[in-house]
Amino acid sequence: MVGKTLIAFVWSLLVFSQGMAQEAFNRYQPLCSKGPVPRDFSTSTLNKIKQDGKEDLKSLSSKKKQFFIEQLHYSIDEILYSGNVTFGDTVSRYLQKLGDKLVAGNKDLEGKLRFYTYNSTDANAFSTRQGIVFVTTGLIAQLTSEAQLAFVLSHEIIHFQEHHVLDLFEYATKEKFYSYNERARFLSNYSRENELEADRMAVKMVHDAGYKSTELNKTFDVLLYSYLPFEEMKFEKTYFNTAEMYVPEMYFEFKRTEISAKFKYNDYLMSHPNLAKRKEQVSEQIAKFKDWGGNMLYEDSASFFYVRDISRFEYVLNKVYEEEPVDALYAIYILEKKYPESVFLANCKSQAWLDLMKVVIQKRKTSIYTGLPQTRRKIKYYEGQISILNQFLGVLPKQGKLTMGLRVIYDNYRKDTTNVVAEKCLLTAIQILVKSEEFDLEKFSKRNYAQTLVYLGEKKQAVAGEKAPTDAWDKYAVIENQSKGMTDGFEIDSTKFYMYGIADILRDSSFLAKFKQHTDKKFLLEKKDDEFNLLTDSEQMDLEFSKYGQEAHLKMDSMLIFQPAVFETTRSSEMDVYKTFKTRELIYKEVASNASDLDIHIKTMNLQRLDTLSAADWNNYALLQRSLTRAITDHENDFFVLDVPDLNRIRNLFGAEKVLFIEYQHAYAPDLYFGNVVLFTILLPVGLVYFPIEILSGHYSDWQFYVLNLQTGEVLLDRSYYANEPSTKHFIGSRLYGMFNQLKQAKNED
Amino acid sequence: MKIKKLLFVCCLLSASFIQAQEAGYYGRRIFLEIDGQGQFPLLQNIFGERKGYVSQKGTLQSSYNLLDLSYRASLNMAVSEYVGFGLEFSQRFYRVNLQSVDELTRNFKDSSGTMTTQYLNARVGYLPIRETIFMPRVLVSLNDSRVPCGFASEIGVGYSLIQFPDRDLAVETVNPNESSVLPSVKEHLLDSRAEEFRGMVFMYGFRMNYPITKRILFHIGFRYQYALQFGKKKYRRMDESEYWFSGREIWSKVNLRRQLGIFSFGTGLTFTL
Repeated sequence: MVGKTLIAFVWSLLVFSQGMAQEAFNRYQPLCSKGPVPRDFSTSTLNKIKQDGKEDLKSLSSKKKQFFIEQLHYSIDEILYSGNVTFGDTVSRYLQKLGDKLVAGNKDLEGKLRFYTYNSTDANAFSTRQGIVFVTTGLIAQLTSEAQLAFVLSHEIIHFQEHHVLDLFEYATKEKFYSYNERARFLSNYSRENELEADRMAVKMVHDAGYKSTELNKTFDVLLYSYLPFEEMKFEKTYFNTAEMYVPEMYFEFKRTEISAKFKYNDYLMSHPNLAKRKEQVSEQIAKFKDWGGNMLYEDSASFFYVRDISRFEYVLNKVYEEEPVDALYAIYILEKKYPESVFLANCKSQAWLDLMKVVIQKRKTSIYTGLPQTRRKIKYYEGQISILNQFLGVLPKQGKLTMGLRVIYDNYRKDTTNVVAEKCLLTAIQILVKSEEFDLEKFSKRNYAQTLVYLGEKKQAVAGEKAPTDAWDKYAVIENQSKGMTDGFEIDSTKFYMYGIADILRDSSFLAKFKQHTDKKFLLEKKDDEFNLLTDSEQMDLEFSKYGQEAHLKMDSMLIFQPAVFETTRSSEMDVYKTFKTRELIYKEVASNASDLDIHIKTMNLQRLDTLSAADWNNYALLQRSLTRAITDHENDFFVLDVPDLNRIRNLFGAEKVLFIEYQHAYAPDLYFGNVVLFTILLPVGLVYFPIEILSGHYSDWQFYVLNLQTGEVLLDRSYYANEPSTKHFIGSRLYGMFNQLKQAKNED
Repeated sequence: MKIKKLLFVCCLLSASFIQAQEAGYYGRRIFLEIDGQGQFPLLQNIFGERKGYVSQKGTLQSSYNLLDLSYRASLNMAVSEYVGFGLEFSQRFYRVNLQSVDELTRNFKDSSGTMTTQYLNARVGYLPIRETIFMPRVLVSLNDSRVPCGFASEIGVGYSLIQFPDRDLAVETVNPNESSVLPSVKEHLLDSRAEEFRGMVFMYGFRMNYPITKRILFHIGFRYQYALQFGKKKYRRMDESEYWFSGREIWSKVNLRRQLGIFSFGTGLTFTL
């Protein structure tokens, strides 16, 4: 009796927790850091270098030792501060707990390891000499059990325990092909021997922690197929169908592209052994443990699957940020089965469709050198079930993409008209529709597919026995009716199904009003374009010059300055760590000084005082970092609105409308090598010209200034300067003064 | 032709004034430059001249022609981020070796109308030259430097006045026994017609301007100068002259010296006003 009650209690607890989780995912908030800030984040890189005991580096010469720790700390901190790493979040806490369990009882490792989530769609994990283990959300999203994750963590812990990074560095320094910089950055490309050793020892660690053996070898399958979506689920032909939109099934009758990953590739010349070898070795190791069967000894499945779902939601978000709408939509399709009411997924879906829609209006850029079209994104091949979705989107005509996008985005907005992201997506969609030459409201049917079928059936009956309707159509009626998706004999042309998919939207007066508003704006712009085309060449040139100057006049009396990205590199393109930090400090100072001189009120979001930053500061930093990275990639074709509410929050928090992001790279690298020094010494008259120019102009300073509007999420300014200047106080100061001076000015309305 | 030139200058200036709002260094657009310029006269020592003589302790000593220095002052205005315009005044001090061998010679008709040719084995010291140049010039920043800060090139065309501040050159006979003729030689050493020359300078230079403070910049660079000398027709004829160095000889030597002094280094300070 007691047993039954207990089972019922546990069961109801599970159902309740499942319901809670469901609710949490319906209102999912992206992963963010929580709690106290770990020392890995709050200690500066220079202090880390200073405090490094270097005890494990005795085999290196003092020069190599110094170089190694400088580059290593710098590289790892670049990852920590990339905005992709979180601490104290659900996933990191889970990883830490799991990691602690794996090293429990091991005096050398206990308390030494820190586990952080690295937010990326790549399936990867890596450990560092400092005792940090990064695990990507992309990897967790692909795994199917906690035991697999335990095996991956164990593998990384062994790399740390056995100082494999040092072996790697020593190996790489012997290879003259690599620069010092490249050698130090080999963080996870361990040698074949190191990899096999880590696998061997990890098996024991997983065994000691009590996981079942049968899961271990599946980890290699996960790695092998990690380029595929996290589930291989059949794509339903009716997925896009709603009461208003019907997509004919023939659109999904493509042949699925076969999955082609090779398991046994030739690894003769590779540093990594192939997965088949690793799998074989792991099986041998497992066999050595006589007491180890397939029974589950211990596994916290509930926590694992919860964390995995978080990772899968992050996967969707990352795919949307990376502008890979096909991947995002397929992942959403899978997750919607479990979380059909998720607002987060619906918003991501709207954004993914915006990305598909914007392709229609993108003008192909051509290379200035070859005149050939430039494709910004490389073509991606899909295998498995996702290839069905990809092929459907591929054959969908431009008008179809626009219409289906509008359908999805409109439905998301109608579901909850208070959803800010949904509203912004709809407004952006209207903007794209108006810009497009493919979308003409007049051409769409005022009846949906089902209504049209009924209507045409009735019509057909009414005219039965009479003259065939197409005979009654003149040439122009045929053209018009065909464009509307009508065939001979009152039939619907199913290849133009989308013409019947937005009938209800066409009756929505608020939609029509917004559409008209944007159309009027478009006409005004076109009128201006016509006026511009009537100008003479020199007038056009003057206007273009003036426009270029005016672009920077943003009337910025106050601004938020984001952490500047500064890189000082040596002649051989290696990072000069100390100089980088010195120049960064100089830029902080000059920004403050020039802003004060010009009476510009600035707020800063930077990593100058790491010890004062809280988890909330790190989250704001990560958010802005992510938004900036995405926005500046291709701001001319930016129709991204998913992050706008968060940017608005930052705007209110700092009381600044715009954020300025500065990128600065400097190197002193005159082209003075043995060969040309000898040559131009012999040819002295040429040398007299060459040497002074090279010596004086050997500095390369590359500036990038970006201004992001926190209200709209748009990049307002992208200005770059490339000058032969050293990175000294007044070179930097005068450049910033010039830029701030421009930003402060208001646009000349004339 | 004049109209074309005028139009060219107008176009240049109008193009430069576009984007003028953010010009200058820390917002200051007018700047004064003071420079020193010098050259190591390598080319003329290799190709043009043999060693000459300088007077030391009362005697003439063989010496390379190394002196070539100048000072410059200019007032400039940054008309855009990338272009500056200025007026430059400079004086350059250098010297020329008038002799090709240790010999003086002259042909002239004496008072009786007889053509006389005289030779004298003698050495003559260098002839000092002072060249005063007025030059409008344009500073154009290279890549995205901001005038007057950073890497820039300069282009200018100047009018020059070539003068000889000391015409009383040191002369010494090779044979000490002949020294008695020196006073009369000195009296007719340089042709009085060649008192000064006029010419032009076409200049192109590279320079790096390093800021020191918010008001002062230090610059270093080099210039190429092509020198044109007027009066070729006037001094071309090989006419007889009672002067040991005729106008033609002086004109040619100075012209050659100016043309070989094509390359020079310079450094100075810029003060923003």
